Amino acid sequence: MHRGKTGDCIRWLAMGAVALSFTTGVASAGTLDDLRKQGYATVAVANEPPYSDIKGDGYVTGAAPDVARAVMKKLGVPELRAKVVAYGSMIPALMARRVDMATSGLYIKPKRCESIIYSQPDLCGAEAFAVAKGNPHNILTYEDIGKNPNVTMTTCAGCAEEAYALERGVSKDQIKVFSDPPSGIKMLQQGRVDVFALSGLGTQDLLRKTKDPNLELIMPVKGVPMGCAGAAFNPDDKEFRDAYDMALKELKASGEFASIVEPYGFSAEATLAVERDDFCPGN
Amino acid sequence: MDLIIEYSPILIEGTLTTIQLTVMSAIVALTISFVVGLSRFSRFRLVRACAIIYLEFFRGTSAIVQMFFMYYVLPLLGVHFSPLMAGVIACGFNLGSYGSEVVRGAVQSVARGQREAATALNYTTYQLYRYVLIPQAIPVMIPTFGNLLIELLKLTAVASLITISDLTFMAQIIRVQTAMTLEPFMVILVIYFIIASGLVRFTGFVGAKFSFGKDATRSGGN
Repeated sequence: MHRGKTGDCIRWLAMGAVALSFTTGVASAGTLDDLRKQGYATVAVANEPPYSDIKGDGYVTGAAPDVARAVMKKLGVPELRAKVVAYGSMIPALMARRVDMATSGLYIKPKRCESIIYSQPDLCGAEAFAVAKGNPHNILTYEDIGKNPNVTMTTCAGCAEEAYALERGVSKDQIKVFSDPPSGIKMLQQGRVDVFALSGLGTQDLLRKTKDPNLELIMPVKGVPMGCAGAAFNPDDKEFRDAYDMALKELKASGEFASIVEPYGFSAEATLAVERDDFCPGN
Repeated sequence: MDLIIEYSPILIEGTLTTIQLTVMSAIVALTISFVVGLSRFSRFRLVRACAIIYLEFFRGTSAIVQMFFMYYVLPLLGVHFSPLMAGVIACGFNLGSYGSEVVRGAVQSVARGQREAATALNYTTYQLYRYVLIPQAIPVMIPTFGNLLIELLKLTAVASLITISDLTFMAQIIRVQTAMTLEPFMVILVIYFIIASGLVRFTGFVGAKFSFGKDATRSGGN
């Protein structure tokens, strides 16, 4: 009888092990051929309108995913499965092959090019600030913030805006990072910071949704380059990236590109005027 | 309210993910609690040492770091877990370390005479634990395990950081998409509370079941 109980124990453990193993995922190998065979690509998108726009039922649209969708269709991958990932986690997700590519406003920056590779630019936009109505500290550029040590600003952790600020004389203790843009706007509304800095269209969209008459948009911010984003890939996927570039080029030439991004407020013209090599030569 | 109706599909999905993550992690944590907790009584030094190392490691490091490690670092070493799996392992292993102390404490709390009586009756170690110590320890464990279970529910919110679309994750999406903070957080606050109340009832039910035959909860009839 006691032996029977031990047998029970072992059976339960075995069942537990089976229950555990069925949920273990399969590693995704990311070449284009695999994606074609599989019929879909997993794409990291950030939660930042209008770069990405997530509907109530979880469907992901927005300028960047729509461009990626059109390009991947051309490449013979009919479906795009979006995974919402914070900006700071996008590069780790690519490195760990959690996703096949990342899109939605990851600016092409030399520092990032050291670990990942980019497609040609797909979305460009000016930078913006949000400040209290009437701009009491008269902030128009990052240098203005740097000059006045009493002024504090907020932007997202690890974002391009943080680097812009540090490069232009803003000290580290003047920057309080936010975890997501609405929290940043809340900090501004509550007077915890004086300036909110983010991509122009992101800031504009957020202010439109916040509907706070006491906030003001400053766009474009002078003295910083236009931010250009591209689709990002694991550095081992050069072939995939090159194929993506070819298809993106066709899309840009046919005018389809403009018809995708312009409704979201992005300027197709500004994007067509720049190349990846302008930001990361040889990436 | 319009907002909540519009986004209800993803909120429901998030709720289900949170429940799934909680239940699966709880099974892992419970298994680990017993294995590690009982290993602390092993006559083999190596087994005891392994149990202590496990305990101190998972109890002494942050759950967020463990999760990031499982999700973003292990793949670089060639080990791939799905997001849900990484979440289950991180939550389960983390809570399992606390649970193992609950098991150890409860077993130790059984009166010494019980152990001596079993020895007098020439019980084997297996019989001692299976028929004497563990049955008496379980009613002691249940209230603490109930606490840990609710702790686990809240720990799953951390899993939103590794792209698991749980309730907190969905609330963040709604916040950023609509720039509203109060409404989505109020809604998930209520949902978390309802789930937690369910867990409390469940713990109460299990507690009543296992203390069957004990004076305190005897319900008559035998």
